[in-house]
Amino acid sequence: MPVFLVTLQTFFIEIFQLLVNPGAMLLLFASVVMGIIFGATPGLTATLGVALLTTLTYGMSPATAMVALMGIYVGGVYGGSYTAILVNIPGTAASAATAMDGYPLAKQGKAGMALGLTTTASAIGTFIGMIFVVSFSPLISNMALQFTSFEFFLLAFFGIVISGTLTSQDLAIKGWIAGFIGLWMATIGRDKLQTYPRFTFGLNDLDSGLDLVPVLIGAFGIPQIMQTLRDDFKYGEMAEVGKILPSWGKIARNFKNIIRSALIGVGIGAVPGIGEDIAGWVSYGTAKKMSKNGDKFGTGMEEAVIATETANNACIGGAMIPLLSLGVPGSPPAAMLLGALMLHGFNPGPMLNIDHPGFYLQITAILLLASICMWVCGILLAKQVIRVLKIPISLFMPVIAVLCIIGSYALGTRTFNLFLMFPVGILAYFLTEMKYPIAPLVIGVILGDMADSNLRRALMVSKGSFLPVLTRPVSLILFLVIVVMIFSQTPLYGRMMKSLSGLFKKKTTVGRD
Amino acid sequence: MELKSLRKADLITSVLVIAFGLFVMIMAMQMPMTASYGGVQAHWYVAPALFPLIIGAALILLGFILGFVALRGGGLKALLEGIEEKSKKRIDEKTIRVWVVAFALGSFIYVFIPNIDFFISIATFLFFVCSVFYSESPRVFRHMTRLFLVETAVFALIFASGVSDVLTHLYYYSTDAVALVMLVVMNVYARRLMKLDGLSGKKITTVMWLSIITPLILCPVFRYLLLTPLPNEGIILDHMNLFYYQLKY
Repeated sequence: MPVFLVTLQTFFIEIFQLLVNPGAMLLLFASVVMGIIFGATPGLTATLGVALLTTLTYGMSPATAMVALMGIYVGGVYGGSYTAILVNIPGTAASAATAMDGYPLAKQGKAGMALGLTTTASAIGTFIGMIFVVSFSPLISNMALQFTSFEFFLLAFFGIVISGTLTSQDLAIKGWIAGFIGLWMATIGRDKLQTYPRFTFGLNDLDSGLDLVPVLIGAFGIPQIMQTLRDDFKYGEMAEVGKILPSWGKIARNFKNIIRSALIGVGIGAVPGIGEDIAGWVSYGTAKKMSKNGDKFGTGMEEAVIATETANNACIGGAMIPLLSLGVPGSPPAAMLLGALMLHGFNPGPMLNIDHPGFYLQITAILLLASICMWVCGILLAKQVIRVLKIPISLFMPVIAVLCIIGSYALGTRTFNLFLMFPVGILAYFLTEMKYPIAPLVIGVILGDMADSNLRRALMVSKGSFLPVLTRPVSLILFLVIVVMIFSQTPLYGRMMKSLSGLFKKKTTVGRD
Repeated sequence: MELKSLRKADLITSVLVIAFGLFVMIMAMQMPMTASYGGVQAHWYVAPALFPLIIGAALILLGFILGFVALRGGGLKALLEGIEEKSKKRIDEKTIRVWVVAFALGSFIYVFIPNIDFFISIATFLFFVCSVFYSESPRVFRHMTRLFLVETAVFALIFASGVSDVLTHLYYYSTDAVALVMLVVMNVYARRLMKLDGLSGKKITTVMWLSIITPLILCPVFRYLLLTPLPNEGIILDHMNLFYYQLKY
């Protein structure tokens, strides 16, 4: 039988196995609903949802745990659109672009229709992302098997530089600083090659390094809790939700828009550390540019909500590609998922497909079912979810704080993890306030070990020579991309581009004359 | 944060980043570079210090660039103006709210969890945070914060001075019992404050139920379903365990 058919057969077997397992299906539905609630509640994010659920999945089998975690991830990214449409406050940053046209639609009395469109668009986006996961992850991981230590070191470095550059709201340099702080945090503990204790200050608890989950919960959870309680957040008047309909006709008319947005989502998701929020905005901008009614964007255009929601959910699949094939998370929730995978004995990267054959297909099957569950829940349970949103944030957030604390503690049953989580959270809060992005810091913590071990291993093989960076093609490409990315942030680059464009303009004028 | 204040903050953080980079480099220099460690003859390129040295150097460089950008963006001027204005400026409400949340989290993690029954710790934390933020009464916010501050200080003193050991010797659950009494006091005090403001105590009743129900769900889930021993099992959790295992076996 051809390999393609064998893969397809395995894929359907995976789906069938999940479908006939009522426990797994119930868990999937429950985690999708929980994800929607997390996504819809301002201050709570898909990342935090995955983080908190990781604790609860510790005792589950890896397959069941993945069902729960992928469910909350998919639900969390989609859920943000609820409050974006109903109260003009995006539940997550991923849905910020949805609010631009979703809320005007709700004000026109079309909230139900808008929710129907976003639900269907999100499901299609997740589905398209899933196709990319299954087609590209094995290819990339096969390619990555040829990588040597230099490539892995540069890949880790590339992850930090690109996420630092693209996630920074202010200066790219702030993203890089956050990334290097993350890298430093990863060096804490006994080093892998010589077991020398680095930055442990004589504390035995630090010997094994920082546990990833408390660091991630601290970095993503604590600032959110502090900001939401500080701002005394309250919902405004919620728009009336009529009947929630999928509006297949409108979806069909937006076929091109959906495909384009899904490709944008997958592409952005595959870039390390860049999340669903950027996918939403880029897709919104592109849809506006390509639309005949671009000037009407912002007044309640259906095309706009379809574009943003397709892209942010397609981003999930995109983010899973580098995570599974290279061990580099594509987005903050994927970073959390990486921690969960490691906790369950999986080591994402090129060896994953060899150590656990069929794991990609399992994840793909879960993604497909999660997107269907999300669609069903979105259409049938939206009104019930909206009711949950009426719980005051000042009562909800302290409970989330308790969950963060118990979650950080429960994974290793170490009180030390709590002592660690709190300062990380405070640091993350102040960094966020000063417009330092948190994603590069987290990526730094995750990729620090990969960068450190591979750099030293590579130099060991080359006897201290950095020349292989320039002689190996993949290394050279990665190196040049990093250099160009850093250079692009300097004033010299701006001036160079200006003079180049000036020169080009002159030439065209001369040519015309 | 407006651009001027951002550049002011950038200037301060640039100094901190440089200092931190220096600290990383100094610490890294104390690590073995070429000597043998753990039976391995090290070269500079496999030394554990190599990566921290790169990080330290990068942080110093980035710190200088950030400082330069901040100076060009008027960071120094904003800093000097800020120093002059500081004496006149009052701390705004949002900053106070952040401090209160941070303090509540800090005391929950460093004082209550390691020393007091986990159930009571959660209930105390939830009762305090929810009552000050949910009540929407400045009087409750102010007075409850003061009470919680005193309570935390007293507990910190009891545990740091070793008085808790003496109390435990007298009665095993004495500190838990004190915390429980404090929880009741907080409850009564919050209701009184609400009354003084002419508000109904309904919100405090909601908060009270929330602070009881949350640990009542979470503790058994983690303790009996996920089989996670809780950080401190005292007067309530020990009895809960007793009840659960009596029922089970």
